[in-house]
Amino acid sequence: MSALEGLWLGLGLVLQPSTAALCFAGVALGTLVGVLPGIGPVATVALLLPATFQLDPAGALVMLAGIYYGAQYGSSTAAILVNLPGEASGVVTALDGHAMARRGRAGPAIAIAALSSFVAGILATLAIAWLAPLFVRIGLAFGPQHFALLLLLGLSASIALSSAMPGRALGAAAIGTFLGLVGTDSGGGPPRLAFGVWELADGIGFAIVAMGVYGLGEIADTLSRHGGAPWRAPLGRVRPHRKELIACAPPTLRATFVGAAIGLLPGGSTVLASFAAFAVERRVGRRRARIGKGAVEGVAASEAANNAAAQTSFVPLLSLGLPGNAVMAVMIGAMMLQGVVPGPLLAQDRPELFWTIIASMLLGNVMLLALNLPLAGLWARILNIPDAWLFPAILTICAAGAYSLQRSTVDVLLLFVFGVLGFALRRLRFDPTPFFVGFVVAPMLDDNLRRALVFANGDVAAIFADPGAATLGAAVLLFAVVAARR
Amino acid sequence: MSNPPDDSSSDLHAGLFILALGLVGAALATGLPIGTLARPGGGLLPMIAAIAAILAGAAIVIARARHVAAKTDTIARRPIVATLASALVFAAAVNFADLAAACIGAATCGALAFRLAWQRLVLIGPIVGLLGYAVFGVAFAVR
Repeated sequence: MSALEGLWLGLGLVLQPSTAALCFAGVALGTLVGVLPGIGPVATVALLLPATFQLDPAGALVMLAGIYYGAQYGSSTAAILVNLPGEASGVVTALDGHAMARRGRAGPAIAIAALSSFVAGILATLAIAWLAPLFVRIGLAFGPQHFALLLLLGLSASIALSSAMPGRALGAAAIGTFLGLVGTDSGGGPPRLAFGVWELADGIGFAIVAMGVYGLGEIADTLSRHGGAPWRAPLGRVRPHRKELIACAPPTLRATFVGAAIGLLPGGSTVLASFAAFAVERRVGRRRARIGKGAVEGVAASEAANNAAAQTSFVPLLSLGLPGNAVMAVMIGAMMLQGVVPGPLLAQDRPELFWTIIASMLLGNVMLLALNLPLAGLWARILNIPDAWLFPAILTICAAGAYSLQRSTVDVLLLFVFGVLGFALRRLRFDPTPFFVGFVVAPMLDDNLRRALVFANGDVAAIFADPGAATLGAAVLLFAVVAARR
Repeated sequence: MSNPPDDSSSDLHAGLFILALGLVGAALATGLPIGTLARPGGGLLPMIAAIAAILAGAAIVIARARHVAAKTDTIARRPIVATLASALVFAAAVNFADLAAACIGAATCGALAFRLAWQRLVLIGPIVGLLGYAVFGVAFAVR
């Protein structure tokens, strides 16, 4: 099936009222969590997993995907108005966006953020449609040794590109990998490290870990550092000048390319994409001296890059089953809960699902533009919800959400344990992303590594015998060198 | 490109934290079959992960010993305790009472993270808790 035929098939399915409604729910919720500080897309996607059990796989995955790229749009509102991004990728937008807001240009900054995100989102989705089938063809030729190396590549990339120092990133990844191995042994043995607790026999749930580390742990850390209410800029007139729109076109296109390329990399995050696009603009932009000091081009570049990266990070997930970041790791969990195995066989066995997810991004970006331009004032007002109401509500949702998974207090106690762990990781300046990527890839890595060793009869050199495995091995080594040199 | 060294006093804690977790992991993994390279057992990857954690923890501790400690930033303890304890309050209340009580308990405990007048506290806890119960207990029929 060609990319055009696939997109056509996907569009036909995603435009069905029930799927379109779920897409809308996802992008609206994503915008909301992007606006609100304290709960990011990882925790939100994890929190909604139990609610998607009753939905069909396409609807559930379309909604969860919408939360992720919707959060990229929403994070710009808080970043621009209060200099407090609701999602990490808004940090770069805050540099120019909040400086514009302080000059009374908050409205145009928000409009430029939405427009550049939209352009990047559409272009990146077309890139996914073109690239994903190529990745699938490569993935179909893979054996267990390639998948083991690919998962190691994802893990080493998350360590090399982590915001924490390499020792900390490696330590977090190792602990995550260890905890991810609790439960069923792929070799058919009794449950590992479960200590007779039946709730642990199938492993620790993705949702519990995500809500604990990214929900409870993040809120405890945020509130423990809280320093009073931040200054909030008035929104004012939203429509930008024509001159501003023209000035933003080249940075938007450059940043879309940079963001889309970074999103394809294992470990490539939306934050990294925003910083890279910002750096490119400071080097090649027409008004480069003003970037970072309230230039509209800086807002456009940051927002285009983070949205493009959010979209293209679905390529390794859908075509190879490789989670590039923490949200994609939760998405793998969501797919497995729906009985969908992510990887190269997905496009072959379930083309309607594969193309519906991709086509939903076209629809989702149109919905997001409609939500974020005319309703900019509404999102700005949401920022007025007092923390004393907002955070108890999020904590209640996390606890009740954990309990709802198996109606078990063990899950709530595990939520507490992972909340403490998440808080400790943040306080001790660890990056939770390698921890979570390690946790998610561990069972697949264990299974593929053991099968690869059995096939190679214990000869490690034989694993790297074919060119594909040797290339992947070299890439793992490259990331290890990058991490060691940081 | 190289980053500045980890020179804050939290480095020692970070290193010891990972080292301790790695040692506990290694102790637990010794009870699992490691197998051979040709027939790897269920304990192989857990042991590799535990050893990686021990090495990372030791590297952080050693690197810390070579640098002067800097001051760590101060933190407020009240929000940390209230936030994390909200899950424990929920677990206890759902065990001994019901979901509605658990939601109200978790919300009230979470609101204790803020220095609020008791009138506001008794307003926020039940309202937020009952909204949570409406979503999970009524809409999702969780019992």
